[in-house]
Amino acid sequence: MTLEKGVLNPAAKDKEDMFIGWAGAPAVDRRFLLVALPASLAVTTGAAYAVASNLSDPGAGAWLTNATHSVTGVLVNRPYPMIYTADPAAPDGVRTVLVVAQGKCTSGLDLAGATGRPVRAEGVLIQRKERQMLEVPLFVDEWLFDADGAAGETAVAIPQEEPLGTARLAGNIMDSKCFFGVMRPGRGKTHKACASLCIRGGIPPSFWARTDSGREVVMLMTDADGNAFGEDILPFVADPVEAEGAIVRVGDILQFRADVSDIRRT
Amino acid sequence: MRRAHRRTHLLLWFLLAPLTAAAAIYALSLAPQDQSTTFPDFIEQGE
Amino acid sequence: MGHQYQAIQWNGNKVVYDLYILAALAVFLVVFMVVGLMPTDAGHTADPVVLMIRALGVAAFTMLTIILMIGPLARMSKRFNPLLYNRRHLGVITFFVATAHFGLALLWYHGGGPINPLVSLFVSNAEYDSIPGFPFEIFGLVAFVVLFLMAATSHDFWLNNLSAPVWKALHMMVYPAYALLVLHIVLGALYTEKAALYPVMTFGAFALVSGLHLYTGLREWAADSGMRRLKKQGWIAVAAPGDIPLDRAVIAPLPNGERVAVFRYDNKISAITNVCRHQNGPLGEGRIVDGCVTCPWHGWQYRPEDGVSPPPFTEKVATYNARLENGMVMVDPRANKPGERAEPILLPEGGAS
Repeated sequence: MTLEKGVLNPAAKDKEDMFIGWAGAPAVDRRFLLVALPASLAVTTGAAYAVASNLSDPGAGAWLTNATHSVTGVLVNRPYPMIYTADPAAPDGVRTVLVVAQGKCTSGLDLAGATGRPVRAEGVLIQRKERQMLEVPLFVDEWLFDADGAAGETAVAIPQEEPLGTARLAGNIMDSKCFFGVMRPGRGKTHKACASLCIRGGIPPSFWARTDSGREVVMLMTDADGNAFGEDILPFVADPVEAEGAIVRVGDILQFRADVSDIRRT
Repeated sequence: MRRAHRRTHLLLWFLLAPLTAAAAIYALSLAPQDQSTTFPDFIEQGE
Repeated sequence: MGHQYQAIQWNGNKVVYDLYILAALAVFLVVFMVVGLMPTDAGHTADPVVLMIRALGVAAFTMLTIILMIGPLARMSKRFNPLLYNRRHLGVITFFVATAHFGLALLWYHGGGPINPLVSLFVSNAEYDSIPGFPFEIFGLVAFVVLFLMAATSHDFWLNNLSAPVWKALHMMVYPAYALLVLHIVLGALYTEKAALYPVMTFGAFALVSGLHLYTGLREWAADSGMRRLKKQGWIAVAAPGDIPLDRAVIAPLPNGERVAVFRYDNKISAITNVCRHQNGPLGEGRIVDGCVTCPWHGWQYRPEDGVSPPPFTEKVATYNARLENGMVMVDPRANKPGERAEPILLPEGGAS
């Protein structure tokens, strides 16, 4: 707007028709919009492309929802519900499959006294590299059946614990279900609340650590006694932490057993 | 726009812009970097 | 203009405006999802729900950035007045996108668990005592509440019934809400996603919005300073009739800091407040259309002689008395009551000299 002789003169540089919302648009505005709107569309679409194409890798997890997966083996409840099943590809031929409920309420799972004996479980497979997890409904009749005992099935022995030593490691406490494949990526600050809620609901935590060279380890996490944590683990979930504890091999997986007082944020 | 309102706008942005920028830059500077760690020898897994 | 309240008074421009927004939003979301769901080289694919939460969040922030640029841009060039006209619809649609983002995140991240999702929102990440650990969700929630209140009161019904100062104060909250959204993004998304592009885009958007506001704010301040210094008493000299373009106005300062618009039309000159009754738009930047002063923002109209809107509308604004003295238009800085007639200056035949 032009300041002329002490007053504002809007018309000084402006001879065209005025845009009035309830009338048709003047030609000059139509011409402008004919350029500005496509340009704006290009910018917003470009922004969508730029943001979406620079997102980090969602991780190696998968959630195979379009198939029912069957696992036969021995069910145990400590430290978390899991099934030891025969798998020739696993070390010593035994694979650990964690069992979690749909949603975030695994602590509501009723194992109906089925622990310690052969069972067949049906659910949805969640898998990240070598780690497997079966997602089942809460009602035990819908997923837990007696093992068929078909000919040729080997009875699976519950693996012995093998303490390896203690270590202090820097890493993250993840909720295993999201991390193994339900959320991709299931980590970081934006996932922290969900991870905490999942672990509160009974999903087992896993400790995830990596070396400089990119080697990673994912260990099932328990308290120092080898049991599930209480709520005092929740503040540390998804934050970068340092934890000191014992590492125990149980079959094909490692367990990291740490007291909450030996965990600190870094 | 009324004069008081013109002034509110200007004052608001004079305060809000640097304060927000400073807070945001500071918060971003505190973002944790991905941390790496050293495994003890007995962890022979390395996925 | 409301002689009776209708939900939305549609016209051709508003329809085109809204259709464009919806089309651009659809394209945005489709491109985001298609690109984001492409498998990586390692064969990994993102979770579509998380991706949609991100798409909606980025869309809402982008839309709000655009909305906040429209005001200053319209001060810099009249070409942006068509975007200003229906900005309210853009705001409400942005609120809907924000609701979708919030709702999906609430269900996906906080649903299906052992506690109520709305409780989980506050307690699942409870690191309120840390800056890097701070629950960024809360910044988003506060901004969402502001957007909700603005969308809920976006209709002129509320403008009139809450009173203009209250309504305006509420809608000014969009600025702190935008600042909170920057923090929501920094402490959330930028902590998880480390591509350098993202802080550049976030801070760039904020810099654009705040830069435009500061620039146009300073221009207005300079205009206020540059306008004639006035004695506190007596009529003010505005301009010679010949300096006022036909069917247009010049805008002069009043001693109380407000502005008066002096229009020349037919062979007359009238002085009217520069401030439109609707949203305080600059009447002096408008024109005489069908014999009425027409506001450039939403097209509200007033008769120049008495400041009354033409039937069937009933709005009134204040007029000012004017007279011709030694070839200058003089205006009495004491406003008349809204709707009070002020006798126009009659110019000699042949118009202004």
